[in-house]
Amino acid sequence: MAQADFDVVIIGSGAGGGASAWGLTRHGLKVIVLEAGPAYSPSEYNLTRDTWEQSAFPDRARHKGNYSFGPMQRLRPQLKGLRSWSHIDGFTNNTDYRASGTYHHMRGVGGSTLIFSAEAHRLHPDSMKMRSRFGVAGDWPLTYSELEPYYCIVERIIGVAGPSGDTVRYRSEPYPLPPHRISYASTKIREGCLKLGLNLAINPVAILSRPYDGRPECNYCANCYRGCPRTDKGSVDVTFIRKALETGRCVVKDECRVTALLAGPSDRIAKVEYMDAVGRNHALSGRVIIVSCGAIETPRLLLTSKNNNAPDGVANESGNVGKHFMETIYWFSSAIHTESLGSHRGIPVDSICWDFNGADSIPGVIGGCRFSSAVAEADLTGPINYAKRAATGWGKSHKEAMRRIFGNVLTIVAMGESLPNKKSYIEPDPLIKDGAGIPIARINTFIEDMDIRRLEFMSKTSREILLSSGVQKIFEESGAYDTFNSSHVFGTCRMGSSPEDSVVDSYLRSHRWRNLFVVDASVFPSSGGGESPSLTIEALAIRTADYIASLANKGEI
Amino acid sequence: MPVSRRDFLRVAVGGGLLAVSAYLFRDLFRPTRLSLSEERTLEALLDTLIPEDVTPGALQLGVPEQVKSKAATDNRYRLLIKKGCTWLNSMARELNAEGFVYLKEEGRDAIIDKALKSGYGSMQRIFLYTMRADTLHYYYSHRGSWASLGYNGPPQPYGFPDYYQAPALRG
Repeated sequence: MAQADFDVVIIGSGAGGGASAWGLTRHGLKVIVLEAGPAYSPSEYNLTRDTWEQSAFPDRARHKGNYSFGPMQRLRPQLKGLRSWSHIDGFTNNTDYRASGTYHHMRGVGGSTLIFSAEAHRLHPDSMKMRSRFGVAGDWPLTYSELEPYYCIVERIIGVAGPSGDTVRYRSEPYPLPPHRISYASTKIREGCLKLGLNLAINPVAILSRPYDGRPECNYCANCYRGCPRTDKGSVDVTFIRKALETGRCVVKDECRVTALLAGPSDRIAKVEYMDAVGRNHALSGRVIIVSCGAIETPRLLLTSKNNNAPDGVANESGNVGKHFMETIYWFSSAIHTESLGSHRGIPVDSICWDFNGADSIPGVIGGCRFSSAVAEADLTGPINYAKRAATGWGKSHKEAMRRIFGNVLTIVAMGESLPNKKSYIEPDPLIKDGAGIPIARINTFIEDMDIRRLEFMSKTSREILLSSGVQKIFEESGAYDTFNSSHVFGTCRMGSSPEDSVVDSYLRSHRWRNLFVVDASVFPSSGGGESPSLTIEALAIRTADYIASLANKGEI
Repeated sequence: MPVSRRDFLRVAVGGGLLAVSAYLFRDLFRPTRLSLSEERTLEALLDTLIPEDVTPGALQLGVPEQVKSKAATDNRYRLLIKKGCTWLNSMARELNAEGFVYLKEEGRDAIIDKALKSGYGSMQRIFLYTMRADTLHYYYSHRGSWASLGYNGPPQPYGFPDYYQAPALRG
């Protein structure tokens, strides 16, 4: 075998790629990370400027990937209660079809963790057996117990602050940092939940509650998704990538877009081709190739990397690449409370109700969900959004309303299980190509009846929680039924035991290409009941890195 | 001189292309600025949307300058304002005023209300929704509007370490 340029070539530097880089370098392996987006410096985030509210995250060339949508499903008139609306504009989607909204992601060193709210959730163990328990989605070919030690490692690296007392998710050690206090605004939601017999717990987050690992504690500005200038948020760039670089065995090349994997004549990926920031083409070889581009870009890269050795695309021998796409099943309700709360302060998603997180905990519905306090996720932490969205009218009455209601908004977000179906999949767009002449990803998405029933429960319960929390009126709601909007996407390179119905094995290794691994949420056989996926992606990545290191030690790669 | 069929076709096709080009690029040849009259109407509208009371209004915090600046570089936006101002003045004349700027608050409010309640897709509805959104945007992005809300931002560098307590009374 020819000498490889690196031990491991990692494509993508988000939760999967970044954690892989650290996990491999700690074993002495030499890695290169190719990232399509730019490297950001925390000093360039806008939060110290008066213009902070006008930009979500610093816009830079190449910071978003392109994608398109297939035909969207027709909406049912009888499901008006699931339509997105606001008291200013009425229905947000005035058509008879589901709207193609946004795939919320980030290209850049750190990936979408640059803009995440830092929720650090372990998956509910029961939601890893959806096929055998309920005949839906897929079973994970590994157990929660196998993953648990890796969850602990990740929590220590990124600095998770969380509460004790989780009776569902076994923990072998406590969180490395004490929990944050919940905000004054969230105490109102907790009171509302208690009236309904629900428990609102402190949300575990990768946000420092005290100085840790050379990073300062959080000062509760509530705007994690605009980029954290203090570095107290455990995004991948300031944790895994930083530590990988410190070993001296990691090279990160930003603004380098991988254009193809070249499958060799035997069972190996021979080369990775990429284009740099100025459009020059390059090729690299690695003893191991890790693809970590997320559940939309990863299948695109695999499916467009066709040659004589992989005529249907790389790792697509079973025809499963791109299939089983799962999206974010969400519901937001926002309302104005009677009391001045200062709800623009604190941790973005500081509290969570896990009561319906189990896969069979919603009556008559398969797949769970969770509810959280989420004013910041609804982007209601600044005067501009209050003025445009929460206060009605104009003139003196509008100004008086602003003085009365600013800081009084409460938002509940519900996130639920997304079940895969045949109409939801990712494919190369047959018409639209990117700057390198490669088809962009086309998102085909469909919400089936079980997801709709779950959404009905999520919307009804969100409203009940708000109303029992003492709000005056709900003024804005949005949900997945009439608009695709996804930050958490899963399932397009499913892991499983059999090459017949999965793409990778339990160590995320391609069944066919023995030096190829897929390490991101595309390997999830099920989505979980609304948990944020980054912690699980990172735990899987470190487990896979350990496996790759063991193969290297045995001379098997 | 006889005109050949080829010459005729040349002139016809050339003329057609010129006409199509003129139509497609018509915005380029329109005035790049608002007239003084339009500027006065626009300022009256913005003053009505956010008037001065115990705190500064849109005029005091420089909102008209920002709207005009955007209009100077955005053809569609400028055209919308021009058409919107024409509509405001025509509505004012129905109320027996020479123009929107001469109306008192009640008259201006009635016209704004009428525009916002117009049918989806109507010019006046789009105009007023756009002006409302932009006026609020520019006004509340100005630090001078924050104190009365009890907002002591921007979010950094100080954050809100008192987040777990009831907020202080608003000033």
